[in-house]
Amino acid sequence: MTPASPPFPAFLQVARAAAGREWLSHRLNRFLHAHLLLVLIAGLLPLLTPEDALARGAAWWLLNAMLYALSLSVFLLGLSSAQAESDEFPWLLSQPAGIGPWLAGKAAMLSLIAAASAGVLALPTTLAGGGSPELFLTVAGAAGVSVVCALAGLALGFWIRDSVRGLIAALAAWMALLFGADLLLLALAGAPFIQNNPDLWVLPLMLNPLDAFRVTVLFAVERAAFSGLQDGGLAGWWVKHAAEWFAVLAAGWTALTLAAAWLGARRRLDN
Amino acid sequence: MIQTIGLAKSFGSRRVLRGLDFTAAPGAITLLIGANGAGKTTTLRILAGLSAPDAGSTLIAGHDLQRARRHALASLSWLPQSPSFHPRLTVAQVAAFHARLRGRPLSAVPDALNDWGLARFLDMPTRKLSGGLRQRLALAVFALADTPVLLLDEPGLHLDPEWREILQDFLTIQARRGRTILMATHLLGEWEGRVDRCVLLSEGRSAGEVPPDELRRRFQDFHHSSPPPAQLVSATA
Repeated sequence: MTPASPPFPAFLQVARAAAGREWLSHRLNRFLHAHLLLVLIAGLLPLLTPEDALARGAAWWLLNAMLYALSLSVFLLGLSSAQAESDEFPWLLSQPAGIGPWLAGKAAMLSLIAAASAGVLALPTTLAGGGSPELFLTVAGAAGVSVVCALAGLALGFWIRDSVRGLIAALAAWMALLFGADLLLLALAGAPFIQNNPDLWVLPLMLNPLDAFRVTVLFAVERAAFSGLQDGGLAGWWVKHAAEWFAVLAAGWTALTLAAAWLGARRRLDN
Repeated sequence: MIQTIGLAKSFGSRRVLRGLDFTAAPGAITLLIGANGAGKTTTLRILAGLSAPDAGSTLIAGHDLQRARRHALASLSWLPQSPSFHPRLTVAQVAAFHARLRGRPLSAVPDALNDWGLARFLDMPTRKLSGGLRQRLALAVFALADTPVLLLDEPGLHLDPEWREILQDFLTIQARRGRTILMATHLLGEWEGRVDRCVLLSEGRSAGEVPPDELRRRFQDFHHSSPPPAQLVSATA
């Protein structure tokens, strides 16, 4: 008599297994070790500020550390997570559960690790007595940027099989997000069309998670003076609702990068 | 049971499968043989759900792979050629993950690893495993799924003679238990007398069958390597 097929594992059962596997795999991941070291160093930077200005200076330090170092290290963490799976794709893709629950569990744990590591940024300042609502808002934003960058790295790793090409593409994508959009907008700033439609100039900044984080911290958290606030328009609305907009943007980018990761993993099936 | 009807697959302008029809019955080991490029691995990848055919249909344990993919894939276990694993996970972690993926109890993991001689390597990261040990881990994961249909692509390639013998015994027992076993291999001589049917693929089609007890005689100079296409075709004449 032919043996019966075993029952399907439930979605949550597979997602939990994938999340557990992601956690275990990162314990030996040098990209995570390097990222955590950078996070710790970045978290200590605000302590260089004189004690009376610690609370105010912390956000500035953490903003720059997040933009110019941690966003890249967490991007590479996501990339390494995807590339470590590539050997097992023939197994994973032939499972009855399919890609969805496995990716959901993996992405959830990766996001949790990325967000929790951003939380470490606040520890030294808080322990030194510099904790403030502004600091926690900054760290919450850093957690959002970390999740988006980690998932972007994951998606990129699924799309690009070769590890060296993946690394080059990750660096290029990160630089495009950090500098590319800004340089392009700077070049276009004087164009008459843009001068007549300033909202078109603001929109790309609003949609870029690194620029949105920068603007949120500078204008909503640190409350830097901003003449555009009185002019109305998109920029004014943005600065008034910067934190809310950033939360929506981070959620949107999370969904977008997850969809890209799913499509990238599916692409390994040679249809 | 596995049944393919008119299976066709092209990669660009290269037609790999051109209307492949064959059946692998339960309780039997069916060998898929053919020269390099005959379409063996492509056929197995389609059966494992890793590749979609351009035309034709596939039934796995009575489930249409295209229409009832989950049911079909739940009925089969697949051993790819040269399997690899997550480099940062240990042998035990990999096996436990695959057991969970298949809804199997974790209590089944130690036995599966013991059966393939991996009890001493439980805490070893898979990146440190030799080719033979990696293949044995793959076989342990493959066996853990406990499905009625077993697909294997060159399962003995990295194993030493002792473990190849154990693999043959394992598959014989599984066939006796009523499982459907379909395997592609170039190590033809070793399987003589151990398989029930040999389906010959040539240019993406079934080119008849070779009697299983004549593998060694028909391919006497090619026991451990791929027979040339001309000899394969003449073998069925």
